[in-house]
Amino acid sequence: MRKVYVLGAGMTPFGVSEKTSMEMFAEASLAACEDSGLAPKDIQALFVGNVLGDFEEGQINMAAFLAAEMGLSSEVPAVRIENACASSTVAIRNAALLVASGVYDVVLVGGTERTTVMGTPLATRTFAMGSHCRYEEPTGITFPGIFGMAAHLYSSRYSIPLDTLKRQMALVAVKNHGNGSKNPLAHFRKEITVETVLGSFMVADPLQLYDCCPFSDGAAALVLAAGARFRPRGRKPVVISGVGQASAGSMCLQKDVTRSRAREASVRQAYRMAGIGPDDVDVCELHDCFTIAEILATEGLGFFEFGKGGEAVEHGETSLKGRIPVNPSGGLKAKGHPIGATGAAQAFEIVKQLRGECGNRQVEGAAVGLVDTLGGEFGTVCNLVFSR
Amino acid sequence: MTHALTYSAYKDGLANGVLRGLRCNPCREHILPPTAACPACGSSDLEVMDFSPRGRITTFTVVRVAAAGFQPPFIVAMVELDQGPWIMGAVKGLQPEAATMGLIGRRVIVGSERTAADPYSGGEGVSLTFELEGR
Repeated sequence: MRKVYVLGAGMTPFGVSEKTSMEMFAEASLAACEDSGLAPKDIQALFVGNVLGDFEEGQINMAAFLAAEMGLSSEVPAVRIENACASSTVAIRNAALLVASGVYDVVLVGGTERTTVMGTPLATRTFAMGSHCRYEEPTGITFPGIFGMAAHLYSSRYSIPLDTLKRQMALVAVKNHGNGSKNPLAHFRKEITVETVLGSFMVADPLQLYDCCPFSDGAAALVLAAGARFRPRGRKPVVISGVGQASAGSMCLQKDVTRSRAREASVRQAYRMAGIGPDDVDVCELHDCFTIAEILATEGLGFFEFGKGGEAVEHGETSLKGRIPVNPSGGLKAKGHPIGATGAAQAFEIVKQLRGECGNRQVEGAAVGLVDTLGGEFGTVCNLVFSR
Repeated sequence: MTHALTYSAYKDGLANGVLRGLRCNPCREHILPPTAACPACGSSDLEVMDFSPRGRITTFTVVRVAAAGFQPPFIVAMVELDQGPWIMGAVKGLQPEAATMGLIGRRVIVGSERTAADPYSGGEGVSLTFELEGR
């Protein structure tokens, strides 16, 4: 397997956008190309993570249109990848493996999504499509509902009083909003307090509004390359040193989701490929679609013991200056969650962190970074290890 | 290979008041929702059986912001059936305000209700329902 370099990274602001999904993807991609020093004509393959383009703008087969939009060669295969919220992380994993194995020397990979045009009722309906359409969706379960059930299960399983857990969850939101306030591309750039979270309206018990990430628009992209012609110039070169991906069935079949077997399997693959363990990770962007989701993820990735992730937040272990800084970008919670673009944006942040380009949210000396993205109700988990 | 229990047959069972599931012949795992192969051992040697419609609530939520087509608030719960599988359904006969942590562990009887079609649902559906025992 060849060493896969990240030659360039680009990202649009996250938030509510007047631009189309394809315009946003082109903007992020051309920025990534410019950052890489390569031209669109150097790109040999295109992978686009996108979940709901059909519902949002009436667009399928977006990848082919994008190849033309950006002036890529007509020889370029262009593929849209859908694994719910993990779509663009999965796209990056596939792209990296094809570059590592020598099929392509240069690929453009990323994701784009414009969720806000759907409005909350349709967005909630389409997001619920990440649950099983026959055996779960007809109950009216929503995504906040899935994670609300996970939170109640966590409280029950580890005998943590719900009030204690809710305060720990609120601290996740406070931390991520604090980080997001330092990120010029974030959807929300304002600090909040525990009281902001606990005073907000209930979405799906016990999750309140500020326990939930927003619906967002945005795009992000990377240029990956290998081979003698494409050695990175200058700067500390960032490489993708490990990848992992694993799968699980419906939430019913998984039973107790306080431990995601898919996550544990996926990150094990990624750590093994990179030759590292959780203690070697300097900075992590993980899937905090809901505050409880961050607590579950920090345990599943091996940073903390099971049942101790909430305490770790209380002790500041996941803050920018903590033992393992988590979601310095603001995470899905504050940076925003344009679902098809989320994984690529997590990768964008890690690349910038490893290059030392993150200003007042920089994790000092970060040399190894981990991306963790969850698709659906713990059905897909994909992990990427970056190092320099 | 054919499915031992298709969605259609599962739905027909519920319409007749029977909760059908699967048992894996090699490893004896009880399976619901139905699958083509056993989640525990991978065998497709599965047999249809009628499950006891009883179990206990393992977790729940109250959906207060609903998807298009649903009227909030309503309670959704996971139930561990006495035979082992976990299923998702709506808790009936209980006000949302009464949905507290005390619900976890409560025993329920499983029923079902038909759900309306929307443009994306592949026709009419069926949702499991849970009624608390001893009410």
